[in-house]
Amino acid sequence: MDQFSTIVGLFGYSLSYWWVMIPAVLLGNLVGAIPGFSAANTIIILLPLTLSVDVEVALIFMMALYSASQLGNGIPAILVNIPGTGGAAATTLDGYPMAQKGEGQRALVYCFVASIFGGLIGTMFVLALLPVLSQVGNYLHSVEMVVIILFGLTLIAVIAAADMIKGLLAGMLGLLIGAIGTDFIYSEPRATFGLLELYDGIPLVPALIGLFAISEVFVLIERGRVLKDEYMDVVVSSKLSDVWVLVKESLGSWFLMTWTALIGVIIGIIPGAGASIASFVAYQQARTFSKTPELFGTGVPEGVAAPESANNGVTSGTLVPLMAIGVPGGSTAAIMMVVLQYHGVTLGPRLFIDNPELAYGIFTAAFITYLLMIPLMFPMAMYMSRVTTVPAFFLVPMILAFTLLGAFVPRGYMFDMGLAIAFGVLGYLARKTGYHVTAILIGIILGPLMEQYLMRALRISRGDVGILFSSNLGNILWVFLIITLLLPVYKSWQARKNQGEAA
Amino acid sequence: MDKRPGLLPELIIPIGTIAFAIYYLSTVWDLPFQAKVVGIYVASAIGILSFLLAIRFGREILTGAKSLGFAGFFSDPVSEGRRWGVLALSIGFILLMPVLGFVVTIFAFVFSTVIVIGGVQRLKAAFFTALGMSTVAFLVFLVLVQVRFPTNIIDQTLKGLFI
Repeated sequence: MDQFSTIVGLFGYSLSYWWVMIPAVLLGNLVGAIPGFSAANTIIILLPLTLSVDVEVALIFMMALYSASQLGNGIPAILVNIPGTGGAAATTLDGYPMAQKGEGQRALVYCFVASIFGGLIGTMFVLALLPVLSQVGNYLHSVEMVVIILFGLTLIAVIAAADMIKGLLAGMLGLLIGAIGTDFIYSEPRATFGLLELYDGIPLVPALIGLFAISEVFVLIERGRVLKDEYMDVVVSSKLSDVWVLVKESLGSWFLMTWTALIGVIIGIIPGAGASIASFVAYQQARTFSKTPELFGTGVPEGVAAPESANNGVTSGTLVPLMAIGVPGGSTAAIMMVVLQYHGVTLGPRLFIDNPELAYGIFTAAFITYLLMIPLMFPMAMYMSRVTTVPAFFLVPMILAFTLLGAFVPRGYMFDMGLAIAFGVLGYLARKTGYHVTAILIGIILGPLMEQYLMRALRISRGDVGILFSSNLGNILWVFLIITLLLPVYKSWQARKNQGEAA
Repeated sequence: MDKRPGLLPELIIPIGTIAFAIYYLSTVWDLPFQAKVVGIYVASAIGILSFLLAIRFGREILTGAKSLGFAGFFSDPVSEGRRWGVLALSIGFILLMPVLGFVVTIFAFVFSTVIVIGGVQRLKAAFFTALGMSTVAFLVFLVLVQVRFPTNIIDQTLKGLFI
């Protein structure tokens, strides 16, 4: 009861820091929307600020910025097909087609509702089950992670459905590109073309920028603008009051948002996993259990809601191991740990007894941040959606300049800008000739993670692949994976059978 | 004139993928098994898929569904020229930044890209877009977050006004 009243009191306490949260939310949205920037590198840049203020202010600022940046990632993914990070890549699959057919405002509202709903559900779930969730990481080892990543990789096959051979070939190319760089055990360089810049592997941001932003720019030059001409009236005549109708409509997908947020929380808890895996797994699951899976990829709102809800669920999940056992779940959490340790905070189980305001406060701050996003974000949806009407001769130079600069930011190499252009040419060729760029990207994002966990598992078993079927939890996940793969086949067989009977 | 879609553009990615897979295998061949296992499996899958694709392409050529050319790949000459122009400007952007500095390069890049896509009649729009873009980029990247882009005396002087 004491703990419960402490948490209730903390909501009010967190709310009193609204003056920290509002600028952090606006900044977080901005950095989330610019490719190359992320909450992690923004917090690093702002270390002089977070180290000089009180620990509560620092923590609330970092948490608000982190939560808002996850939401911000989805905005360019929807409007101009540029995911701010790998976590928003799955959002482009349906978000951008929606923007192209004049449903940019609808897609943005779904993105905001799913992000806020997913963030709130994720935070409440974590607050309610923190002691249990802090143990989850102990049960998910290399073997289980291999299966979880396979859930995401099966999306390649789903995307490839229209042209299986080309789609799979694109996915395999992505996996091989993802395997460039030194290996995880022996640190031997592989396929680096003798370039030192590739020893750490292919950097994700230039790949993301090239495959999506630059290739999209080459297409835009031909098309004139993002929005197809026939939908111009729809966007121009949209009203601010439409937003609330769309909010109501999007809340109809509450069940989908809830369970994809929980997928995000669970994946976020696992150190090293993150929003990229969570959003692809959530998208794949949403498609599998949809009544109209064939519409995914053509611009359905559920295809936006599922990945956005999941990548915001990750936000709370990634902080669980940090607060509970002092192990950061991701790069942003790792930087938060540095700031907290500088302020003399000892992370781990004792923190919940010695300083519950701080231990639980980080989650209540996230909750309040998501609530504050409601009045801050929704009124902007209509204005943001107008970006799709901007002519290419304005939009293309701005996209190119910002994304090329964004490619430089994470590592500070001019080489990465060139790499982004190379990926842009590859992406354009792929689009023009029917090889899916998202399949290539899934390979690049998930390939190295898959290899890392697979190599660890094989190292433990001394090369025996039987280890992949050696744990109970792993075997349960295998069964789920097989069900996930067979369900669409069964559904289409049943649909054909029903059609046959009707005829 | 042959109206059938050309097959050659569709071969670029498979041929590039096979070449890359061969190069990849050549770099991992002498490594321990665990360091090359993924490469071997993926390269094998690429081999099988490419073989299946080759059969399909062969059939499409034999049935006359596609021609051996680039038909349908290139768009109208104006758009194609703009696309190549923007690609060249993007490469120039990277090569010139260490020489011209941050602000001047962005201004020149945005200005010339608007002209290449929108035409010379957009001179005023190009100027103001370039000015706005270089100002925003300067304030965000150099002043606010202080990313270490190549800078010159102009950037340093402008930066001195803010920091």
